[in-house]
Amino acid sequence: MPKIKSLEDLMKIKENTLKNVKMRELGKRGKIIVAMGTCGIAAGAKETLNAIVEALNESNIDDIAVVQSGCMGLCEVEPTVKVEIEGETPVVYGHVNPENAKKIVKKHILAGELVGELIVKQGKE
Amino acid sequence: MGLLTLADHVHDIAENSVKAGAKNIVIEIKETSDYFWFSIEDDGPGIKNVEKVFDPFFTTRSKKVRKVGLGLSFLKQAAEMTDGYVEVKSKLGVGTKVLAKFNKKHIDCQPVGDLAITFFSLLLNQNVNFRILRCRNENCYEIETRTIKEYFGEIDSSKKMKMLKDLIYELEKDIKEE
Repeated sequence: MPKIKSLEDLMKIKENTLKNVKMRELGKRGKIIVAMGTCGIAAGAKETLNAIVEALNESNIDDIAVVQSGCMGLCEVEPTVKVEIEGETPVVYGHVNPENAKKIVKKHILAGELVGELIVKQGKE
Repeated sequence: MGLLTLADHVHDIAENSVKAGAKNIVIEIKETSDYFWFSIEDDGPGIKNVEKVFDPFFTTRSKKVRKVGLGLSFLKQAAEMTDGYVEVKSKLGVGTKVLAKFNKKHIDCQPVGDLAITFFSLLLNQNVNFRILRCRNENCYEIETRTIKEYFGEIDSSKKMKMLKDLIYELEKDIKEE
């Protein structure tokens, strides 16, 4: 990637890249919530978030939002992420290191299969 | 386990401001080969018992979720271990400012860590206007939510997220190389 020195450079990159970006204004199919409390940050939630963004981008997934929350009260299994897909039961996954984050995107988001070994909670609060 | 890098501390304190409901958060970071200093100022509701914030069993959040508030305790311990300091100034209805200094040459100073991914994570909180000023010696860059929105619009796709992340890494790389 070329070095960005000014907002003009950024605009050029934006124009070139956004050509292929689906500019959907409609709602998303679902969202991935990354818990970013002190416990999550200490356990590596930033790296988890990064891996999720990379995996979604690599698979060209645009209909899933990525958001952050505070501590979900599951400090012992951080980093945790909750996957909420429209019409499906929300699932909280634990010990989501970058490798597991990619697995969740590939299996749950892309293939619609739960990642059984990482589930710590299912259903609403 | 605690916060392992200085970037983790910055992230954690800024997340406190987000969770407190701040709409504007200013982060300043000044780093040299000798020290790492940061300030995080928000326009949140302020802290009622500011003298208790370093008590690990004090939190302003729901006791149903958890009963501890470890972030500022970790920060104080980590900064003071390097002969640095932490200051918290807060005024109800106005906001809170946290300042911290670490002496990098102290043997107990934690590594700086990955500030780019910290800024990226924070900037994804799009309902908050962040202004981040980051300096390393004489080299600085500034990035603000408003400017990002002006050029990217809402960060509502994985491609835009990736672009934003790459941009921050480039900015961070530039001030390290020069």
